[in-house]
Amino acid sequence: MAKKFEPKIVGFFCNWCTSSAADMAGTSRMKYPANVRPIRVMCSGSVDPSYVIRALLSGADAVMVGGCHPGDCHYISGNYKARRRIAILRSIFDTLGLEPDRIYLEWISASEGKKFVKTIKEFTEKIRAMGPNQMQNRWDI
Amino acid sequence: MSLSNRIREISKKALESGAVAGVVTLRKTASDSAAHALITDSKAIDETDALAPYFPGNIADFVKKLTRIAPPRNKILVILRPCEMRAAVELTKLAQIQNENIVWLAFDCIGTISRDESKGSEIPSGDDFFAKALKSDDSIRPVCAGCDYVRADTADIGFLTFEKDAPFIAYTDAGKEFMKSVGFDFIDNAPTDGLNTILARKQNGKQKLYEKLENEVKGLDNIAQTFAGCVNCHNCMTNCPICFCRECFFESEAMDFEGDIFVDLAQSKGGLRAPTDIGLFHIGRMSHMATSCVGCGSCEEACPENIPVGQIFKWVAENVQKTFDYVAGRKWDEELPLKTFSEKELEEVAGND
Repeated sequence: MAKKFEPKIVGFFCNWCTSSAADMAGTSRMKYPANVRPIRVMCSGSVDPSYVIRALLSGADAVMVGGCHPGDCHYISGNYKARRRIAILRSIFDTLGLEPDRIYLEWISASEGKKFVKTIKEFTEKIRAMGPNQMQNRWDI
Repeated sequence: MSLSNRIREISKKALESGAVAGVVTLRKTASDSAAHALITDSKAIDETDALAPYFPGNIADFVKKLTRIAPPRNKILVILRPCEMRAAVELTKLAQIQNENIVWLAFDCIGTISRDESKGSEIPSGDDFFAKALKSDDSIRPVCAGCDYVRADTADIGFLTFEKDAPFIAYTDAGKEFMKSVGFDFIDNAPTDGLNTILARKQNGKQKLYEKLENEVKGLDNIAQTFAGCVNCHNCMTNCPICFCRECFFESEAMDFEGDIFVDLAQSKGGLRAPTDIGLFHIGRMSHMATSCVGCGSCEEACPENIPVGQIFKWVAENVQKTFDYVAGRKWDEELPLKTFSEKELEEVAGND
């Protein structure tokens, strides 16, 4: 029997919001899929697009970036810059026919443990439906 | 007087009158090629042919070198193509060019022949080439056939080679002052009859180019195939006028790992290609410079494997820039997309609250 597909999702989560939301979900004993591999970053604006590309080329099925809601950035405007960078990346993937929907940006504040759980659940199911990322099986790229 | 001779004449006058201390333009070399050169002696102007269909790289790259540490004390006339002018505008915005003492003269450009194609035979003269290319795009580089930015009004002076009698136009006060000092006639409002004819052809060419890329490059299999020959020489990056970083991320230690990590990667990917990170380099480079890419195709000319990297970058970059309603190098006062943002935008990427 074929093994059930479990998506591998790399999460780049802002230290000041989404990472705390993940903590809150944990301390509140809320359950969410273990498909996400969280990486704490100091700001969503510090996520260079090449980290996202590297993750997708090296075996991730999707990448999620979590940042502070507009107006709430600890560094004033990092999240707006992150949004522009993700927009650039999604546009490149779209033009090249490389499934831009595997790249996802969401705003989750430190108090939104519930939203964190809901987001991870929904995104995991979405990627499960999309199936495995074909890039990870290419030795030649 | 022919088009090329008029450019030579203005260059000579500029040097002899002392209006400028140097002219940067295309100069024939001993072999059947040409190079950009900074010329200070008016006698050497006879060896130049600014309009010759030869693209040894983007001239803005040289102006960057000329002005980065300190711009020259006296004025320098730079004769360039619209794609080079756009790169110069982007590099100025990126604080890589200090343009105080540069007089920009941009001519209406019909395109160039690829260097590969012109190897072994003499480069056609600018005049002969213009006479032929004004009628058809047959022999020119694909990025040029698909280029609809053939006139740069960001320059100080324009040389409107598409128009009747090919007038010079002064776009700026510095341009007016320069034209007066060399005693050349100029106009203030650009006619567009000739321009529109060329534009219609070029827009058609662009559509065809992008259709070809949609069919041949789009999709994972096609991309892997397109870049399969990449030898990781980074010539495309070195020759890109926009890639100015002193140390490139893709040449940094961030590309190095312990042996076991490479083994793990090979296990999960069904092998690991060497040189590594071809896909990361090209897609990553796009993500770093697509907002400022001017589609000049310098990268493609430099590629030893003939990968259509210039066409691909032009295509990808145009879509990226559209997202921000931006065209690289179109205007001096448009903010770089990565230097600015709006609080309410891109809701399809992430919400506004």
